[in-house]
Amino acid sequence: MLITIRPDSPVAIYEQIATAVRRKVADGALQPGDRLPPARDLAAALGVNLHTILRGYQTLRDEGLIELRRGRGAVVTDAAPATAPWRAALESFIAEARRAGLTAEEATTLVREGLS
Amino acid sequence: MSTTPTSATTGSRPRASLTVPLLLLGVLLAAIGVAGLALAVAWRDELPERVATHWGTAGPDGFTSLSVALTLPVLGPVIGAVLGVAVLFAGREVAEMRKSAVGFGVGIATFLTTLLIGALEIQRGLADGSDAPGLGWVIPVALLVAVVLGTLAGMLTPGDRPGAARAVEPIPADAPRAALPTDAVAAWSGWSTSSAAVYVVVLASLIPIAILAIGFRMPTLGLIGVAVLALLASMSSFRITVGANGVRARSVVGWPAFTIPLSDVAVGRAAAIDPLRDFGGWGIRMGRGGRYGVVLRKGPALEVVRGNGSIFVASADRADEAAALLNTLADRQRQTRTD
Repeated sequence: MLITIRPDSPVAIYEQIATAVRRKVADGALQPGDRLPPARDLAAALGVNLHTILRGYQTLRDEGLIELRRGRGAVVTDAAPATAPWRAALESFIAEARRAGLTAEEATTLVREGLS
Repeated sequence: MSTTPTSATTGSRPRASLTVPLLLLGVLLAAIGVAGLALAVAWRDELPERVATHWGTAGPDGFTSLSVALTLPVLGPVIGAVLGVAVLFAGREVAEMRKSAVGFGVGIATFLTTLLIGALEIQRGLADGSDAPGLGWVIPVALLVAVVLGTLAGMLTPGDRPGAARAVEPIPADAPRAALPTDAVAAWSGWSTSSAAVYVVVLASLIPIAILAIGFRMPTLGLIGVAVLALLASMSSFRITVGANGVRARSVVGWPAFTIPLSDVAVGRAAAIDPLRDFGGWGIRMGRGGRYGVVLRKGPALEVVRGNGSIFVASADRADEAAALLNTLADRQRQTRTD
């Protein structure tokens, strides 16, 4: 799995890590039972402090998204939601957009304007 | 195995020196041989004329004359030398392979020689080799001493000189890259796991070991066999990481581990590998074309060409993602180089 962070972002790095993992679980890239990279390995690879990664993992554990098991590391739980709410909404939007005859460009512009 | 550099490396790089590893191997093997011979000769007057050299389930069933038995301590070092030298030359550009060559050469020699000396020791004061007791403790002791000395020898073997595998040229323009904004930092992490068939084979090997242990009434042998297999099985899963510290492939138990810093990366790419065809088997292997690495299953693998032409390989799904990120990070590292 690929994790990208922006060190200069106003969002704390540990929160960026947590968000990245949440996104992957929502997308199905991470399944229940999958192991996250060991915190030490991820910290060295990203060039950030070990405790930053640990804090991100602990945040996810407090949300019930992962379990921190000694020996096995961080494991995605069964309780992790299978899909994010936005995915269901996206499917509805696409269906409605098709029905209304919107082009891909028009639909994308609407979304981009809405999110910026 | 090819030692000519690839197009992504400089053409005038000297090959890694084998002087120290060969010297180390030679000195240690000679010492083992001399020690074995000295002990055998020292016991000559206490040993029977007919010495047992092979044991079956019913006791000693193979014998040689004493004079032949006294020359056998050279066998271990000779076998260790052949093995060690062969692997040294095959893997000269890879530090881990050089260390393994010396370690295993010394380990094999130590095991065989200790086994022989133990077999002679238990026959001291006997009238004939057929009176010899079972080997019992000799085998576990021989294994233990072999592992200790082999590991030490491997640790003593020098690794790469600083910059030995350094890649000088820029990453080729046509190599895959990741779309990584300049203000972003990224890491890739994945598993490299053996296919189920490998685990089945490893576990199935328990059966002949159990049979041997029961047949020879040597429970310690069975325990050792189980321990070795457990160790092999636990080494069959690797965590591959690509990031600011380069490529890291680490077994779940921590060792073995391979590290390639970004400055040594000539290019990264995804490749399809076939363990049997390209490497002659599964596990940590050396293969054709200077390739070596964690070869666990047939399928996608991350290939990393190092500055000295050797090519590290690791089975991994999404190897394409890993290779693209590696090239991008290596690009950045080149840009920050001061020389």
